[in-house]
Amino acid sequence: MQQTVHLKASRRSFWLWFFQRVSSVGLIVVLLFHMIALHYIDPSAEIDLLSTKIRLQNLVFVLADIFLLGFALFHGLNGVRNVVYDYWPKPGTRKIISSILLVVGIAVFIWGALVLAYLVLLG
Amino acid sequence: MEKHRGFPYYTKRVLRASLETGTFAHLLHRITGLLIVVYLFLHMGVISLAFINGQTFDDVMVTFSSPFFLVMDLVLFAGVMIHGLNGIRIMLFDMGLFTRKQKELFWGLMVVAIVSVLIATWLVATAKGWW
Ligand code: HEM
Repeated sequence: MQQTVHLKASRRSFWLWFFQRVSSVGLIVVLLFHMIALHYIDPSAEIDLLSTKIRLQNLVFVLADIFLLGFALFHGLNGVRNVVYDYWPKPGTRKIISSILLVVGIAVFIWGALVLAYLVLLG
Repeated sequence: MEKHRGFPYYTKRVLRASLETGTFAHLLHRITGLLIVVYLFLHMGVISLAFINGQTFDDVMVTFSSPFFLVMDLVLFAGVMIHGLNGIRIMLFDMGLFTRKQKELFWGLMVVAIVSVLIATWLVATAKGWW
């Protein structure tokens, strides 16, 4: 019994560690594309709602945005979890904070996807 | 049991330790990561204005093209480059690469980060006619 509990916990921390790396590599591609394309290719371009909607008619930007949303949320919030686990030894508190971070992550992902869908479809 | 030595002693120890390259890199990675998380939520909040009112969105975007916010964009870019390049360094160590050249790799990558921020600054300053 004790054994299976430990196995489950260590399996979970392996996969979280692993996806922290996967999202890091994903973010290098997607986040650099996002910042360079929107800010530094033409820094004098004015960004407004209309130009944003036009840009999002291009599937590449939509895919980049949805992956950026997912990778950044997972990576950032799992990073916060890692920081909390470094400073907080109490299992009860850890569990509560992990659950809050999970719920926040899912809720913000859905919210971001809705805003993106609005910008793409009702443009 | 260890004797309690008081607050100044421990503050000094933490400060001295954070001057070690490895500790410094770790703290820098942590602080930049957490700041980018804060930025992510602010950024999504602003984009969500489009949902509520298109005119507000455009007004806010005009504010964000002021020199102050363009410089803040560059600060963000610097944070992302520092965090991202140091993240690559961490993953190289995970794969057993460069483990005997950790400090050199850190300072080398920080030079890359500074150069990339200088290039971005030059692009913005040229486009905006700051000189
Ligand atoms: C440019 C792409 C990025 C790369 C290559 C990258 C890489 C990494 C890596 C490898 C770690 C794990 C460090 C460890 O296990 O010791 C990490 C941690 C972290 N990252 Fe990133 N990251 C990137 C972008 C981001 C973004 C966009 C955010 C915010 C949304 C972020 C927030 C964090 C946080 C909060 C941590 C935890 C810090 C800690 O444990 O001290 N990172 N990053």
